[in-house]
Amino acid sequence: MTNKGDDILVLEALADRPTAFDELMLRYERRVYNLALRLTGNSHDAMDATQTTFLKALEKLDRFDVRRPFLSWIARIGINESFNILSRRDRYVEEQTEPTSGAPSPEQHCAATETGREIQAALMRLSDDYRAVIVLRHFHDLSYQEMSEVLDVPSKTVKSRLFTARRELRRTLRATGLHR
Amino acid sequence: MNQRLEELIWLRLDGEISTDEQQELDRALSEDPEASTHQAELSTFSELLTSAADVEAPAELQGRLLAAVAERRAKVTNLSEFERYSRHTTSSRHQGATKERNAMSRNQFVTRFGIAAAVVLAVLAIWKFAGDTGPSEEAQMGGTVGAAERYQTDQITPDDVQVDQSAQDFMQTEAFDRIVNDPDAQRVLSNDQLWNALGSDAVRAALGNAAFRDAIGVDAFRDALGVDALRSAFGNAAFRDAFGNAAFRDALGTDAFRDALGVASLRDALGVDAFRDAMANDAVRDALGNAAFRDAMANDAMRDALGNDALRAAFANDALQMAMKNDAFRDALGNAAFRDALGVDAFRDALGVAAFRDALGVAAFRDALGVDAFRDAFGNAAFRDALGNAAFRDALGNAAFRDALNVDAFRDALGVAAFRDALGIDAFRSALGSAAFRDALSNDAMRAAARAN
Repeated sequence: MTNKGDDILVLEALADRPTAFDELMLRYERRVYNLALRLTGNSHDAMDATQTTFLKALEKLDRFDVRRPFLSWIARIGINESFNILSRRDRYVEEQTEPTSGAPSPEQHCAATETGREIQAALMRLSDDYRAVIVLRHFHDLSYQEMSEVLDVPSKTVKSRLFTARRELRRTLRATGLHR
Repeated sequence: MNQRLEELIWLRLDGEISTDEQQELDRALSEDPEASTHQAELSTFSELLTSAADVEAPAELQGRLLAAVAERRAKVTNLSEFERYSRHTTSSRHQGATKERNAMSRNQFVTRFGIAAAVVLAVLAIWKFAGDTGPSEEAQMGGTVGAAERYQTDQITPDDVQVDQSAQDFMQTEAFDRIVNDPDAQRVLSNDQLWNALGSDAVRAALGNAAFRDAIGVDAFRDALGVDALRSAFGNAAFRDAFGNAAFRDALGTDAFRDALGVASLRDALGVDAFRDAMANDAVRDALGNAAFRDAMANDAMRDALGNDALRAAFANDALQMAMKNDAFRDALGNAAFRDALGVDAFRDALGVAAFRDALGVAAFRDALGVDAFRDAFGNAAFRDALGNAAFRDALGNAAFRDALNVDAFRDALGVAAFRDALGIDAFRSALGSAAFRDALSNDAMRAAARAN
C-alpha cells in the first residue's frame, strides 16, 4: 500500500495501472462492507453489495470527479447497491411460500453482542432513507455536508431526516429496554 | 422535550452548532432544569449507537473482490475491442452527411492537437465552463481528465494519435464543440509548452490537483511549463498545493521566478505557507532573480522569516538584495528582532554598508536590533558611517562591547545624537579599539555620562 492520494490512484487506474484501483479497493473495503452491513443487515448481502459497489466504481471510474472525495462517491454507490440488494431480497421473500423459520435473522449476522444485535434490528425497522442517515452519521461519522453529497439531497433534508430517524430509533430501542 | 431544544442538542452533539445556536442552547439549559436531563439522554443514545463499532470484513472478501475486479477487467478489454470494430463498421456504412462532416471536423482536431487534447479540453471545461454547464456535465468533464489521460504517450505528436471509444465519446458531446470553438480554448491549445509538459509524468499526475487545473487558465503559467525545473517540480506535493495561491500563479509570469524553480530548496520552501503568501509581493518575486536569495531558501529561518510583512516589503530595497549575498545576513534572518528591524527605513539603508552586513554576524549585535533606540540610530549618518570604521567593527567582536549592547543605558545612548556623532569622530572610534575604553563602556557611570552628553 502507498500513501498516494485517492485522486492520484484514480488517475493511475484510468491510465491503465490496475494495481492502483486494487489499492483503492483495499483502502475502502472495510468501510464499504460495514456500510452495506448496516444497511442490509446481514453479512452475505453486505459482501455482495461490496462486490457490486467496486465493480460499478471500476466501470464508472472515468466519471468520477477527482476534485471530490472518493469516499463520498464510493459510499453513494455502496448505498444504492445495498438498497438494490434489499429490494431484490424483499421481492424474493414475498415470492416464497415456505417461511424461512430456523434460519438466523439478518441482524444476527452483523453484531457480536446482544446490544449490537438489538441496535441492528432497530435499524432494520427504519425506512431506507432514515437508516442511511443514521448509518452515515453514527457509524461513519460523516458531517451534514458530506452526507448531503453522498445522498445527493440538500443539507436541510439531511437534518430533517436525521431528526425523525433518531426519534423513531429511540422509540424502538426504548421498547426493547435498551434505551431510557 | 420540545422539538427546538432537541434539534439544538443534536446540533451540538453532531459538532454542527453555530455560535447563535450555541447561545440559544445555553440559555435553554440554564432556564430549564429538565433540559440538561434531555441533553444527557440524547448523549447516552448517541454513545449507545457508537458502541456498536465496525466489524472486520470477512477474510474471504478481499480475495473475492480482487478476483471479481480482475474478471471484469478482462471482459471489458474484450468487449471494447469488439465495440471498436463494430462502431467503425457501422459508422462507415450508415452515418449521415452531417455526422460525417462533424466527424471530419473532429478528426481534424485530433490530427492537429493529438489525443492528449482531450485531457486539456476537460481541464478547460472545468476552468472555463464549470459554472454554466450544470453539475452533470461538469461531472462528465471532470471524469474525462482521467479517461483521456490513459491515451497519452510520452511525447505528444500527431503521429501518436490513438483514438479509442472513450475519447471519441467525449468528442461527440456538445461541450466538446463549445470548447473547441472558443477563442480562449484555442489560444490555450496553441501553446506548445503545454503539450510538451503533458509528456511529463509529474505534470500528468498534477492534473488531479484542482489548483493546477485552475492555473492552466493563466497565460504565464502555461508559458512557464516550458521550464524543465518547473515540470520536474510537479513531483513535489507541496509545490502542487502551492498552485492554490493566486500570487504564486502570478509569480510564474516572471523570468526570475521560473529560473529560481531550478533550486531544490526553493521548491521545498513552497511548502511553507508564509513563503507562498509572500509571493503576493512584487519585491519578493523580483528577489527570486537573485542567486543569493534563492540559495538562502535552504535556510529554515529564512523561509519562516518570509511570513514577516516588514521583510517582504523590504525586498524592494536594493541594499537588502545585496545583503542577501552575506551569510551573516541570512543567518540573522532567524532573529525576530532583526526581522522587525527590517521594517525601519534607516535600517534597510544601512544594509548598503558592507561593514554593517558583516556586523550582522555578531549575535549580540543582532539581539540589540530588538531595541527601538538602537534601530532608530541607523537613521543617523554618523552611526552608519561608523560602521565603516574597522575599529568600530572590531569592537563588535569584543565581549565587553557586545555586552554593552545588551545594556539599556548603552543602547539608549545610541539614541542620543551627540553619542552617535561621537562615533563619527576618528578619535572616538579609535578609542573603541582600546580594550580599556571598551571595558569602560560596561561601566554604568561611563554610559550614563555618554547619555548625558
